[in-house]
Amino acid sequence: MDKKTKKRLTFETEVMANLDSMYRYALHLVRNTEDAGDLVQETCARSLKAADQFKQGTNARAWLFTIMRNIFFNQHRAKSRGEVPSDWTDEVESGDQRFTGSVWPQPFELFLRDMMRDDIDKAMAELSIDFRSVVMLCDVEGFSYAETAELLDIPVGTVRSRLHRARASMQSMLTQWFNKGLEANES
Amino acid sequence: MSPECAFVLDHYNDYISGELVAGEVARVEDHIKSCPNCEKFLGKASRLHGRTVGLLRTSAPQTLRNSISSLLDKA
Repeated sequence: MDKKTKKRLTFETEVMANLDSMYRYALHLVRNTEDAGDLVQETCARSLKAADQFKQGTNARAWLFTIMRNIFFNQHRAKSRGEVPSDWTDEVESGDQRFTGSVWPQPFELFLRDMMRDDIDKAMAELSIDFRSVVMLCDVEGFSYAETAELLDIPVGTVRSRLHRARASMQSMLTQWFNKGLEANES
Repeated sequence: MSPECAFVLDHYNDYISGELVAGEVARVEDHIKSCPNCEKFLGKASRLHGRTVGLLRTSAPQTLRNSISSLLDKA
């Protein structure tokens, strides 16, 4: 096998190995399965064209995510005449959950047991794209703060604060919905 | 709130993310051995995080997997 063929096979293996990750990231960028599939396909097509630029031994997933993100933002810019998803928005309430105990008025394990995928998706959808992105990259895909900062081209401190606020916001939403569900069942 | 409880509160997210340095991890873990409130809080936060992440880890549909395979084969 010549060097070029070997490199190409390695690249293809990386693409297939990271397909689930790419799909998840796409899903949280575009918010529907059809567009997510299209975005993954476009990312794969673009990455194939640029496969020669891929350096073996580097982080293929980060490279693929960067391509995907660029495609997404270019499409978004084209659709919204230059408007890009906002930086910090006011849709996330600030503040860590303190040791008040009031955040967990119901048995916690019951809360966890009843947490559903739909609730998580709904909570994620309530976050701005900037916050969703750090949750997906750090929490779901396991990128470090530094790797995420590089991918999103933002400071590490911003990754940290967005992640913390996103988690607090999701926790708050999920707890509220859980409590409302309990109240509805009791009435 | 004691300084050690405040430290846990300020750093529990980074602890869960695995972003603390060894000395900070030790400080958190030493403290929760003697502080039931912090131990409970950190346990809840970790379990909620684990459950959330678990539910977000979806897989690509087989149809998409087939399409990408085909795309790679044709290229």
